[in-house]
Amino acid sequence: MIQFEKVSKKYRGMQEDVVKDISFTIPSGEIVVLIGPSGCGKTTCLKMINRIIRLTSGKILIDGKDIMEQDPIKLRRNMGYVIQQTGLFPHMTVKENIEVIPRLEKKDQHEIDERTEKLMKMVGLDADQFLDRYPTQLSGGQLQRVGVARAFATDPDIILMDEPFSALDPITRSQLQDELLFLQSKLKKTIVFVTHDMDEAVKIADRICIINGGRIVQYDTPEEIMKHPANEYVADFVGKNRIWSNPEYIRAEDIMLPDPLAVPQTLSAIHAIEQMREKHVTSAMVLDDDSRFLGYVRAVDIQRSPDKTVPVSDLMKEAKVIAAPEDDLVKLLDLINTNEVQALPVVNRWGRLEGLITNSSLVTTMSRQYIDTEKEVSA
Amino acid sequence: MSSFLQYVADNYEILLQYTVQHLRIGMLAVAAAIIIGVPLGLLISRMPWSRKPVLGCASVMQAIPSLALMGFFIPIIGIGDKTAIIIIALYAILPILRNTYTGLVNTDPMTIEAARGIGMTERQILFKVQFPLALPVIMAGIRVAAVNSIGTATMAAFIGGGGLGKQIYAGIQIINTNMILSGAIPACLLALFIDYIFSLVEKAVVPVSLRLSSAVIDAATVKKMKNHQRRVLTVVGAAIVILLGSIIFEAVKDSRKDSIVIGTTEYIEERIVSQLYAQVIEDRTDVEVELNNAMGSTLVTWEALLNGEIDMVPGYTGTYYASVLGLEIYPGMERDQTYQDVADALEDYGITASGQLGPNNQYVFAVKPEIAEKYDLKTVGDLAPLAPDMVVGCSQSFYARENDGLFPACEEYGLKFKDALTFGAAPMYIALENDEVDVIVTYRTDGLLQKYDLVFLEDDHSFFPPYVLFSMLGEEVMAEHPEVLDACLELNLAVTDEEMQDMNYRGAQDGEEPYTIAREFLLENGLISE
Repeated sequence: MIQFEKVSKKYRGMQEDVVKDISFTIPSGEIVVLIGPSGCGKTTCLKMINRIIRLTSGKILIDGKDIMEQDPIKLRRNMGYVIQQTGLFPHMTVKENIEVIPRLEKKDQHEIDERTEKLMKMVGLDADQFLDRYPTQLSGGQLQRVGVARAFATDPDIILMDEPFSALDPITRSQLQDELLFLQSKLKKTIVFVTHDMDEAVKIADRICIINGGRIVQYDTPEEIMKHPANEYVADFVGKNRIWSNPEYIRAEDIMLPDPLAVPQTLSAIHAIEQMREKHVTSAMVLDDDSRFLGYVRAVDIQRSPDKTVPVSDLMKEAKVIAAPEDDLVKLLDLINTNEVQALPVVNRWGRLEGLITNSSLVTTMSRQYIDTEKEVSA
Repeated sequence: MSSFLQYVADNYEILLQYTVQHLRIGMLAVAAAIIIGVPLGLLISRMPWSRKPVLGCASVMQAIPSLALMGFFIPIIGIGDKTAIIIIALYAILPILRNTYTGLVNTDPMTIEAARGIGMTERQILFKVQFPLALPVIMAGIRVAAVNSIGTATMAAFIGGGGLGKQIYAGIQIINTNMILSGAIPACLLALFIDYIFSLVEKAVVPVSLRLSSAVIDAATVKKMKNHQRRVLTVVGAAIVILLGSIIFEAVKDSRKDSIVIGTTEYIEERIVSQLYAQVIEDRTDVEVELNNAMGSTLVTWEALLNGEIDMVPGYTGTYYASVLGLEIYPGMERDQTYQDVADALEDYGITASGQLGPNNQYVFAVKPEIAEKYDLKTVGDLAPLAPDMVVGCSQSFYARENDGLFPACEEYGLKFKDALTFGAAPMYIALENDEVDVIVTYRTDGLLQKYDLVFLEDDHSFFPPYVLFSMLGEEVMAEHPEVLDACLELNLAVTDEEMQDMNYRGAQDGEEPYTIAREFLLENGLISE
C-alpha cells in the first residue's frame, strides 16, 4: 500500500508547485493508473515514490513506512522501474540488463540464472534466442518485455511504470497490455502506471487517478469515472463517447426502460389490454403476488382469446431469456441475437422486475453515440 | 637514397634507441594527461559551474607557444625528459578533458535515470553505465592526444631530452640530410603507427551492441566481435604493462648505477668534446657517463650544472669569463690567465674547473675568399667602410652577448652593418654561400669553415677574449667521485686547434658519429685503452 499524504513538489526556479497537496492511497495488489495532460504532475508523482524526485513537503508511506526514512538504494531495489523504450543499457546484453541489480547484490549466479530464465518465460521471450542479444537487436515490443522482466528481477512488491508502452505501435501495445494484465492476475503486484492514453488506462486500471494542474481531479474505478465524471473537465478528458469503446461497462440497468408495463397475474385479460392500449405498448410483464417476475403477455394473444375475462396468467408466456441488471451490452446483444427475442426483461437476483430492454430501446441507446452527445449515457 | 639507407643501416642501433625514447616520452606524457584529464572531465561533467574555467584554462594552455612553456619550466623543474613530458602532457590534456566531458554529458539521460530508478548507486552508474558508454569518445580524445604527443616529442631534444628530435636537430646542425631524414621519417612513422594502434583500441572499446547495424546479426558473429575486442585489449594492455615495466626497470637501474651526466648544447664541437671526456672518464674510473648533447644554450647548461641536474659541462673560457661570470674583458687577454681567472670565479659557485682541453675557439669574423680579395680585407677594421652595405650573420648567443658579443665588437671596430641576422650554426654558412649575409662571425675551430673555405679577418684590436675549451665539474660529482677530476686532467691540453678542427670537420662534413671520432682520436694518442 502506498499512501500520499499532503504531498507537494516545487521545482527550483518555478513559481508554482507542480504537485499540490496530493493525498491518496494506492491499495496493494492493484494497478493504479495516473493520467492527465502533459505537465500535470503525474510523472512527478510516480518518481517521488522511488525518490528519483525529492518531494518538497508531505509524506509518502509504503506499508506505513515513510520513504524519506529509508535508504534510497534499498527502496529502489524493492521496486521495479520500467520507463519508455530507452531504459535498457545499450552496452549490456538482455541477460546482463536483467541481472544488473541481482549481480550487484552479489547473489548466487546459479540462482540468478534460474530466475532470469523464469522471467524470460514470464514475459514471453525465448531465453535461448534472446538472452545474449543486445538491445539494438530487439524490436520495440521485445525491448519493453525485457524492461518488464528487469523490473521483476528482484521480485519487488511494487512496480513503477512510466509510460512504458507509449512508444509502441498499437498492436504491440495492446498485446503487452494484455500480457501485463495476465501477469498481474497471477502476481498481484502493486503497480503504479503513468500514461496519457485514456484507452490504456481504462483497459488496465483497477483505479484511475486523473490529475490536472498538480491536483487530483478524480480517483475512482474506470467505470465510475466514465459514468460519473466528477466534473466537466473529467468528462471532457475521458471523452463523452469513451464508454462506447468499452461496451463491457454499459450495463443492462443503464439502457433498460426502467418502468415497463407490469400487471399482476390475477388481472383479467380485458383490463390488461386496456392498459396496454393506454400505454401504446403491445405486451405487458406479468408479476406474481409478491411482485416477482413471471412472464409476459402479448396483446395479440389476448385479442385471439375467445374469453377475455380470464386472468392474464392463463394467456401469459414464460420469458425465453432474462437479463440481470449488471449484464453488459455485449452479453445483452448476444442474448437477443442467439435467442431471437424482441425484448429482454431485466430481473434482479431476487426475481423482481427492474426494467425491460427492447429492440427499439437498444437502437435508441446505441444511436446516442452518433446522434446525442449532450446527454450522459448513464442518465 | 642508397646513402640514406646505408646511413640507417649503419646507425640502426642509435636510431632504435631514439625511437624507444621517443615513444616513451610521448606515451608517458599521454599517460600523465589521462591521469589528469579524465578525472578533470568527470569533475566538470558533475559541476557545471566549473566547466568554463577549466576548459578555458586548458584551451589557453594549448595556445601558449611550446617555446615559452619551455622557458617557463626549465628554471623550475630543470631540463631533460621529465620537463619535456610535463610540457607535452599539458598540451595533451585538452583533447582528453574535452572528450571525457562530452562523452559523459552525452549519455542518454533516460539511461541514467533508468539506472538510478532500478537502484544503482551513483558510483555504479558512473562505472557501469556512463564510462562504458562514453569510452569510445574518451578514447578518440586520447588518440588525438597520443598522435599530437608523438609529434611534439621531437621538441624534447631542445631541452636536453632524448628521442628522435635529437637526431633531427643534430642533422640540422651539420646540414646532414640523411641524419635529418633518419630522425624525421621514424618520427612520422611512429605517429602513424600510434594513430593506428589507438584507432584499434578505440574500436575495441565501442560496445559491440553499438556497432551492430541490425537485429539479423547472429550470435556467432557477435561472439567473434567480442573475442576480437578482447584480443585487441589484451595485446594493448600487455604493451602498456611492458612499457611501464621498462620505465620502472630503467628507473631502478639508473638509481643503482654510479653515473654522471655531461651536458652540452647540440653544437658538434661540444658533442665531440663531451665524448672525449666521457670516454676517458669511463676508461679511467668506474663511473658511467651519460651524455646530454641537446641542451638549448650555454645558459641552460650552466643553470643545470648549478642546480645539480647535470654533473659536468665542457665550456669556453671566454664565454664563461664574460657572459656567465660577468668579469670585465680587457684587450690582450692571455689564455692561461683567463682560464685561471675563470677557475677562481667558478669556485664561488662551488664549481670546479677541471683543466683546459686545448683548442682556442675564439670568435672570428669570416668572409668568402672572393669578397676578401675584391675589397682587400685583412682585418676586422677593414670592414668599417663596407659595413653599411653589408649584412652580418652570427649565432643567437653571440648576438645577445653583452660584453664580447656583436654589438660591443661593432662598437670597438666602428662597424655599422645594414642588418644582423641570427642563425643556428649550419644555416649561417648556407646564408653566406647564398649571399644573404656578407660577413659571418664564427668560431676558429668550426669544422664547417673547412667545408666552405672562408677567409678569417684578423682581430687586430685583440678584442675577442680567448675561448679555450675547458671543463667544469659540479659540486656533487666532486664530493662523490673526485677521481673524475683526475681523469679530466688527463686531457689537459691534449688537443690542438688543428686536431679539433679536423674532428669537427669529420663530424660536420661526413656526419661521423662524435663517439667514433673521439674514440679514434683517443686511441691514436694512447689516452684510452682498447
